[in-house]
Amino acid sequence: MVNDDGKIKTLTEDISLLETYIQDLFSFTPLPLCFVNPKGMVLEVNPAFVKATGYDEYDVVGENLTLFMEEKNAKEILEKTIKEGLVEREKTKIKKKDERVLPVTVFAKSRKIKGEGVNGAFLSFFDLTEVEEKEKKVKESNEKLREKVEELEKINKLTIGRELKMIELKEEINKLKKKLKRNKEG
Amino acid sequence: MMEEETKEEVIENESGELEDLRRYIEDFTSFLPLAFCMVNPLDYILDCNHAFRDVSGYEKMETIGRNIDFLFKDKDKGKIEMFSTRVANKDSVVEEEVTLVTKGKKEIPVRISALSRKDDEGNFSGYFLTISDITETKRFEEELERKIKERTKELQKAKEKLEESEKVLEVRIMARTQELEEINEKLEEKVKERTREIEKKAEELEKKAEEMRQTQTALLNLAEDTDKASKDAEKEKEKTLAVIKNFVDGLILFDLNKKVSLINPETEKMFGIKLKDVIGKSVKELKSFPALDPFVDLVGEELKEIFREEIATEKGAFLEVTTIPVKDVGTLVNIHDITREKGIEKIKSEFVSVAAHQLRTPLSGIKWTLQTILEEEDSAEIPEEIMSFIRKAYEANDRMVNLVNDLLNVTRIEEGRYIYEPEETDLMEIVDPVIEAYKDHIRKKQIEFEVQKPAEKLPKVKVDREKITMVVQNFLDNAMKYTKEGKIIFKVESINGKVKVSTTDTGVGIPDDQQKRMFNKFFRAANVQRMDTEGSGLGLFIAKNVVEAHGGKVGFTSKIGEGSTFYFTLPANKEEIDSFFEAF
Repeated sequence: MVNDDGKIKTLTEDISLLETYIQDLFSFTPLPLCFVNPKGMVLEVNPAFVKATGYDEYDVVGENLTLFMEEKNAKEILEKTIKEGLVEREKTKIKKKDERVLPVTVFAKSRKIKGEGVNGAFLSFFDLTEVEEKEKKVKESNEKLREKVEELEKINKLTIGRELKMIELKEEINKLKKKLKRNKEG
Repeated sequence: MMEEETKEEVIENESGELEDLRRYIEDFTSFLPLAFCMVNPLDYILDCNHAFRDVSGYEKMETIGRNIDFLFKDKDKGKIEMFSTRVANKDSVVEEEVTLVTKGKKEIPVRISALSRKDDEGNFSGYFLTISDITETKRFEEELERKIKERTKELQKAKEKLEESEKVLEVRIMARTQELEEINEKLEEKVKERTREIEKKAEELEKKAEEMRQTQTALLNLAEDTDKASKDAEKEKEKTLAVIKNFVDGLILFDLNKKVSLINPETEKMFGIKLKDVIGKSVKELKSFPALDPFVDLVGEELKEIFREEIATEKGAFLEVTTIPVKDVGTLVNIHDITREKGIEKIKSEFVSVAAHQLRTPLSGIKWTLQTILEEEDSAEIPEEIMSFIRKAYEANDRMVNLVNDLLNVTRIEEGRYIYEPEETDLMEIVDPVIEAYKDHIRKKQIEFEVQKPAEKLPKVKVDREKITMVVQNFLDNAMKYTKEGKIIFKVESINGKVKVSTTDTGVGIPDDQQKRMFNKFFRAANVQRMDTEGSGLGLFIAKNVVEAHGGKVGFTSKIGEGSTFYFTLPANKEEIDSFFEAF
């Protein structure tokens, strides 16, 4: 039989373990994350968020989402999350500390406490910069290739095309010569 | 009791907190849109979330307690083993790309990330593992790769086409290059040839340049000479002007437009005119000066060529005018004042006239006396020697009478008193008696004498019979006198309204250098002077003046040693005759 002290000790150790676990998990997650209260105030951010946005933890904790999101977007996403419990793949933009804009897709989930209702929401941000850059690169690459092909076609046209034109012209001249000869004979 | 209650409360609170934490973890892991699992140090899965289930297709219960490597493709198992070792030994996030095999055997490319966890004592207690589906990225990359391949293929095709074109072009370029090389060779040859030509030309030019330099030097010398010559010419001009100014004869210079360009002071004096009044005036315009009237009448508007022709001025002076055409300058008129000579000549003529008259009377007396003696019947009593002297004296006297007659005639001619009585006559009536008179004399000299008369009757001429007889006699006399042998032809003919009389002999002829002076007074050619010492040199002078006084002309042709032809013409046209005599 475990006495109360033993129970307390075990509970305290478990709590500590879970806290560490949560802390570790929160810190490890390679996805930029934040936890906000129903009003949109940031309560917690993970290191991936700090790395992605350039904001330090103390820059954002206690501030509203609108610090790095457009007010309208932030409001819509938060309201939808609270109302529907989940928001997936919502495209938006976040403003980094250096004012640069980061394209992202947002995943959000509300958090409810038994008997208290929604007490906040998790928000994670997938950085689309790389994807967009890749798209851009593909586009640029395509454009460059297209230009190259056009250029080659042009060169081809100028060389082979010109030769063909010359052949055509020679044939035309021969035809005209024959016609002239016939006219003279006629 | 209080303490007991507190422990219970603590237990309750902590249990609640623990529950909260678990719920938080559950909420968090279920929220995480990333597949997540908790793995122990032996790589066994302890927990996983919904996203993990979504990705792998395995339910939570099918996963927990299984080694992590069951999720991946066999070929990646080694990779996973190394991955977990790396995670255990590293404090930071470790990543790897592998292929996940879902429950439905679907292979999904994933990126796995892991972070080790340590216990309180720092021992490795497991790790968090997240699995990211990189299918889209891979697909995207594959798509990109495919597109790139496609494009590369297109590019390759285009490149091939281009290479074909290049080959065609290369062949053409080679052919063209060959053509160009040939052209180039030809061009080079041409260039060389041209260069040679240019060099040759350059040499020629150099030579020419040298010649030019020489010419330049010569021109410079010439310029110096010209300058000197110009100065000399200026001096000469000054001298000439000085000569002209001080020239004793009058000089008028007409330019090529026949306008007066110069007159000298002597001319001003002769005509009482001033240079400034006449300069630039034509001959016609000079007519406005009455003093110049005789001069203008003489030279005419055309400034005809005149040699020593006389005019009389209104002041009674006599001037001898000669016009001399000067090439590229105009016409120079020389006016020589012969008033004094005229006066002397007049005195001389008067003296000759008086002397001749004075001589003629005694000479006639002598002639008559000698003729009487020679014709006296008793003259036979006079010794022959004396008779010979008397005959010679008679002949000499006769020649003297003739000479005196000639002198008187000349005097009359020069005084303009050679007045005759012209009458219309058939010239043959004058000529025939003369022919008859000379016929025998000529034949006596063993000279053939031929008379050629016109077949038709001659037109009448208006002449002084005596004077024309004298001219015919003079011609025949000369022909006979200076012809030793051969023939004399006397011819009368009618030509173009004129009657022409000529004598042609085979006599001594006249030296060329003396022919111009044949009609001058007292002139006798040197060869005839040697043959005959008795001529006076007045016959042809008188004949010329007689013929010209009838409006006719006298002339001759002669060749030394071969003979001469002397002729004269007389006008036979009535109008011409009348016109001449009216003017005369």
